Amino acid sequence: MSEEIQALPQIKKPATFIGKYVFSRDHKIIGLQYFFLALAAALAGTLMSLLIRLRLAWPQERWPLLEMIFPNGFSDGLMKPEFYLAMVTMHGTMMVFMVLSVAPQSAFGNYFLPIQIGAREMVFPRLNMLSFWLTFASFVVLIAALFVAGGAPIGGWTFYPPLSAIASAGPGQGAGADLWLVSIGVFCLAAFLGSINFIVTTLTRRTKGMSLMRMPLTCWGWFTTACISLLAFPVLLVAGLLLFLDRNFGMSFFKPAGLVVTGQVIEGGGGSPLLWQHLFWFFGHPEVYLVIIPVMGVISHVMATFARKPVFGHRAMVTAMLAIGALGFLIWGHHMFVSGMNPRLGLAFSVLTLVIGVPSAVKTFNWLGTLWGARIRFTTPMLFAIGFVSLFVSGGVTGLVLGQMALDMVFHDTYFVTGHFHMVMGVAAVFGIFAATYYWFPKMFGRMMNETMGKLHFWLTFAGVYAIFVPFHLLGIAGHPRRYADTLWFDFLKPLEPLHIFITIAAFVTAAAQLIFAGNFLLSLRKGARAGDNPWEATTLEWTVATPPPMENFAGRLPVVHRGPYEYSTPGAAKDYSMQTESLD
Amino acid sequence: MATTLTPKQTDAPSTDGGGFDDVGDGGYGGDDGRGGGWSNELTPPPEGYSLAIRLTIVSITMLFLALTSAYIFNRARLQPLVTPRVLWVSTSFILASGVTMELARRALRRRLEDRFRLWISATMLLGLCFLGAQIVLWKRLVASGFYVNKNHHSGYAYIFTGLHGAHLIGGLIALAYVMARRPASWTAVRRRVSVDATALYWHFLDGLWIYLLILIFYWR
Ligand code: HEM
Ligand SMILES: [Cu+2]
Repeated sequence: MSEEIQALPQIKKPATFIGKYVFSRDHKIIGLQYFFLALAAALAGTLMSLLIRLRLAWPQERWPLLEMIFPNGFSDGLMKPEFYLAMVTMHGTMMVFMVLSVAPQSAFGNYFLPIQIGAREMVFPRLNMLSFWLTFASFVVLIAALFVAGGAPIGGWTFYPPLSAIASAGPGQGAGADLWLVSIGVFCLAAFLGSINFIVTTLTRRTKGMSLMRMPLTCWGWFTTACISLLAFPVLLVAGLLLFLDRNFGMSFFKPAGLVVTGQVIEGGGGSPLLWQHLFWFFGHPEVYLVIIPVMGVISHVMATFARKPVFGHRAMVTAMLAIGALGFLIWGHHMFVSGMNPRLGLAFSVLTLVIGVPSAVKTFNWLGTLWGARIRFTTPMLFAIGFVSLFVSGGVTGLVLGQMALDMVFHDTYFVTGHFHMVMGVAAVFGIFAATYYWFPKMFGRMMNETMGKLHFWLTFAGVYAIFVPFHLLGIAGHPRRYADTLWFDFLKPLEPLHIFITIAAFVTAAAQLIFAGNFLLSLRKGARAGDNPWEATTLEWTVATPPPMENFAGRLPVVHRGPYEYSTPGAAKDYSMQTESLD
Repeated sequence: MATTLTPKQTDAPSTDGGGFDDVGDGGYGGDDGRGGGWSNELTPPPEGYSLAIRLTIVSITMLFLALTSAYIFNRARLQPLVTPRVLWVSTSFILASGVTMELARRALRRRLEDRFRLWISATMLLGLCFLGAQIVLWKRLVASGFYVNKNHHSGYAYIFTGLHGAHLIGGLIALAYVMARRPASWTAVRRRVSVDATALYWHFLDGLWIYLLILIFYWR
């Protein structure tokens, strides 16, 4: 039996539907809101990527049906290059911001951080609601960019000036680009509010006995990420603000003098496009870590559960996370090796970049150490967790290639980079999201997901993403540039066409495999086997509460914690897991 | 052997009130591994408010640091400029408001309700005067041909002062909230902590203004 803290004053329960599910202050509802927002964004982002793939594989094919859906994006059934570029930009923005920065942190973090540390709520529930609705507004504005005159911006998710600073630089660089900037600005505010809530909740709302080192690694991931957000997003906000002023108020922070765009001399001048690169990547590099760190937390958590072993090197895992978070702020220059920077500075950035490989490797070896000699339960979430490690290693290795200046001179802005970050960030994080969904679905919705469909989904997706993204590296080695709509204009790209066709087919198959997930999700929601409170026989606090957790999580009581988070297979114990609330004797 | 702890309930939660403090129970801070030593009380963690405001200050500092780096990167340093005298008026307003803020904070500590209200009002008034003086400052600058898009320096000058003003408006809203909320609707501790947090923020904006003043008008 366990000790508990009893009889807390009750929070008034919202009576109306709107209070309960729309403007909710319940961290679990807000977590689900974020989750479904990310799912919607993922759907949009995936459809965009399929359009991108169509043009790359069959650049001269006519698509009259698609022209009916996107009358401005096609002419005579041929996809216009600017539409292609708009899709590239929107796909990247949608995925990086609305999916990968939202699902691992804001969705699962909101839902499970308070429960896992034994709190009834986030510290600032209203602020939490505000963060969600700001994120939602940001999403709506981003989508709106597709529908304004000229369409969505075409500058890529990195939005490099000077062209992004000039409305006449192309279709989509007008109103679409302004909306893009507004959307990102609002997203920055939302991320700021969210990070305050996460940090304060973690530091002040832990229940009795929940020391920092007894927190599950998920909580450490969310905490580290919140710290990164707090420091990184203001810089993006500044960059966006300056660019907005450049575009709309005749400033020229980013526009160099004497610039000629589409035959016109641009007014003003005296700014520097490199300023954007510095500001953007000072944010951008930490951004990629704030995507992956909460995922790393989830992976460790899931892995311990199904390996039935404590996470190998728990303390090293925490230290590595913090080290990655801190070092992440020092290496933005590796995105700018070809910007003409002083080679000595480049060398410094290069060395620091390789240094960050050390904590990354520590994490990887600790995951392998956790699996070593374990009696693994190969459930769907576990498969996705192992798949994550595979992808993270495959993508990390190419990171080490790109981190060296001399090699990056060749690979910069080729498909090699695209391959690198899709492996290590894109798909790896998506695997983390799937692992988390399969793992926590029973707790969130009270029913189990179907294992057979889950495993089928995993294997198809796993094979699919390798089939898509390994060839990306080959394209890159052959010198194929990123973000080119017209591959047929260049002789050296023509022989690569079959590879493009292969990738596109793989992409469609993989995308179709996601329907299995969607089907499983919807089916399990209604028909799945009822989940008990602790279906995975796991140890942490979310498995002590009712399924699904009631308002305030612990039904007017707070748990008292006696143990570390991952006491699996303790020698001499009666069961192979001891929950955190079980007292020691 | 289910031991159930019933903590002393010193602070009933406000289920209806404004602010962010809807939840009344406190954290125990997880005793940070030292075992024992946890507070048995259910007051909200007062450090929650001050922590939140400190984090906010860190984030805003990043914002202004990023802007300063951009300012340096663009080589936007001082161009010949006649400093309008109203600059000193606004500076005195904000410095004075720092003093009254501090007086308000201390009055509350000594539970002098009337004085507290007096000094908070004075702070708000001085804050508004500061904003007014800043607008006059902008007008003077524009009149002297110092337009937003004249050069990098002028552009940054308006961005810096504008953003500072926007954050000050946030401070004014916080002050108004502290003033408007009935003392009975929240506990003394929580009230004091909120005022402390607001004061910290206000002093930060005070210091930020001095920094910006030097950066924009004196640093070459
Ligand atoms: C061993 C670790 C890593 C190293 C050494 C590394 C190195 C690099 C380098 C040098 C580049 C710039 C390539 C270029 O543009 O020419 C790059 C790009 C990128 N990396 Fe990594 N990386 C590592 C891990 C990661 C991780 C963990 C993530 C995300 C979770 C990530 C996400 C990205 C992204 C998104 C880009 C491309 C951004 C763009 O240009 O659109 N990388 N990486
Ligand atoms: Cu990077």
